Amino acid sequence: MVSFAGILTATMLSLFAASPASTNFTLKSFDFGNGGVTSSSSSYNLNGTTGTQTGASGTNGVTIISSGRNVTQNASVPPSATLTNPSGSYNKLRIVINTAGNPSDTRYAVAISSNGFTTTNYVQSDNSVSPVLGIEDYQTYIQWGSATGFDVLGLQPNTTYAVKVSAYQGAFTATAFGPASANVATQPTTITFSVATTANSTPPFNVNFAELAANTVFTANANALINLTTNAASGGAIYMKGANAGLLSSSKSFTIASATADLSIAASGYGAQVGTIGQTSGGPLSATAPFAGTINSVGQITADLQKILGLSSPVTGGSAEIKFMAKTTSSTPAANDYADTETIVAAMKF
Amino acid sequence: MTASKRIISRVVAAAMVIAVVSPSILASVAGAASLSQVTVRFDRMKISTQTTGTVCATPASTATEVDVRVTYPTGYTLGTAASFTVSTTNLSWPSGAVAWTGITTASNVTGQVVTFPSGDLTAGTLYCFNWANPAAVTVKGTATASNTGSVATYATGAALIDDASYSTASIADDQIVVTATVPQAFSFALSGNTDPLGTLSSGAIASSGTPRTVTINTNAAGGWKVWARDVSTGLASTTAAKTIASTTPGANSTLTAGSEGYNTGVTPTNGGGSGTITVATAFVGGTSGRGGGLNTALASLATSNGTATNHVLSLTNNVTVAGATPAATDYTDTITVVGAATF
Repeated sequence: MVSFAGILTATMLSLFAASPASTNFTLKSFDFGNGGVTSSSSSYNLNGTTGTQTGASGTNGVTIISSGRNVTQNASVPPSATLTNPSGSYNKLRIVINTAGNPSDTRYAVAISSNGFTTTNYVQSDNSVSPVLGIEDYQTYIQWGSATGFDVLGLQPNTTYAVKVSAYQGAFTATAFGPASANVATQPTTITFSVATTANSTPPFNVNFAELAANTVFTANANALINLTTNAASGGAIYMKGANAGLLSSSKSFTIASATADLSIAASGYGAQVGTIGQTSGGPLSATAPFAGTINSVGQITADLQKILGLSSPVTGGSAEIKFMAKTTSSTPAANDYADTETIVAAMKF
Repeated sequence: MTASKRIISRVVAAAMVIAVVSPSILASVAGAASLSQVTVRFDRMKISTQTTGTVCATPASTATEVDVRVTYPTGYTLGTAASFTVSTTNLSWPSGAVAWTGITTASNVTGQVVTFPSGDLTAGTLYCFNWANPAAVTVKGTATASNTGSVATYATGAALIDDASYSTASIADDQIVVTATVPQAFSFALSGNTDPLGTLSSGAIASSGTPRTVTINTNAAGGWKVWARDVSTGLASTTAAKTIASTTPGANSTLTAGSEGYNTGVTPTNGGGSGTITVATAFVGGTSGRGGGLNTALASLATSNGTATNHVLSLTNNVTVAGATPAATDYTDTITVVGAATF
């Protein structure tokens, strides 16, 4: 135990790095005697002071403390926090701080490292990570989510992390960072995606309209079948485009143009409609206008990729069917080579 | 804790704050922040296929970016730096995205890392750009999930600012081929099967009171043709053993009252479809007594060069008699009209 009193000199600022600390014991309380003299040390940490400020300044401009009445002490060094990855995330981990019996107004800072604290970052008050630790990043146990904890955000995928916690209470010097937590890894970014049809699971994927007799709405004999699983935190989208922006007959140089339309009403047209959608968990996958129609309403398939399905969070076992529908008029040229090639891709937002 | 222990030493408090924020204490700390909303869309995901694509990201840090480095997944084949031309056309970018400031053709390709020069970016803004040349990237040759890459922004001196990972997949096929057949259709209808011309007079031209029509519908891209012939090459009376002969079959004519003559004039009405009707020169009608004579051989009345929706031919039969034309009540002719389409 070390106590100081009297005039603090500027050189003492370098002594505040640590209070009495142990990885085996928690110091619940300690006391200070009276009296003291002007002193400085490069060998000891300052745990507290006695006295009150006189308001006067010494020759070096430092505050003069009168001797004799008051003492201070640090908060207890927090034991290791609980670090987990409960949602299997690639960019966040869950931290629950262990208060070690510190008072409720004790504030905590969290250091995080992926290399055994050779390099250290700090959890910011917005739960992001930064190399800079500010006073605002010391938060109370309640602010850090109490027993539920909080998610530290913006971590690197497929990386193992550990955390340490420092505390301070009142206006005293912060403790040293306590022992490191267990090592916990983030998951890699993942996506599993496939395109098939309800008729075939292996390529080539062909769907066909039997015969497009005039003035009747037809649905192709199979649907496109999309499967998606991803841990992308912000979800993503599935896009589609058509090579011909319609059903093209090369032999007749004629295209049954794709259109956003209710084919029950429109004289002719061709388009896509998202049918059955589902997922095992997460997501959800949802159809994007104008492909979210019902009955005979279809969205136009253009020559550029368009978003046809979207999701805003990770999804497991997502699936969607895409119907193709067409209608012709009596003057749509007869031909047996009408065709379009639809390209379907996915891109997630990590 | 005793009351006396709770009394704060302002000097120590001030020292604590200094200690917390002091750069000297944080000197060993360094690290990049994470880009957010990172999307790399490959416009083709089929194995071994060349592809264009889009890169989007939101910077987290306030810094001066000079380049963005896109790491493509292992196994993806990359072209030269010059092949990575870029565009900032919004190709179904995520909502709220803006053109990536100052993005230009890649300056370097090393391994799987492609460096694109970039302008300074604003933290919190979602930026996108496209690599526009499919020859720049070829999807790996095997179908695998979670092909991981990264996007990173750098400041001058190759100082990392922000970075983040992404994943894509290479799949067996990303295309659905949709095929269809439009069946051949052709309809042909006469509005009636009789055409009474009434009592003929040498002083006037007698024409069909209600000309019979032929209505054609077809989806034949090559159009249609209509032909006609008659049985008597004129109006024949059995009782009078007389035929008012068709007027110069094969040539257009206009009858004159008082002179025997008989012909058929055709007038067209284009409905819908891609085709346009052309009446054969010999049978052009439209004015009194004008038309062409029929005989027993089928003669082309009209044609169309495309599909037809309610194409109509109006057939007007005209006849004139002379004073010496034998009287009879059984002058008659039977005209056969046929059509066909070119699919």
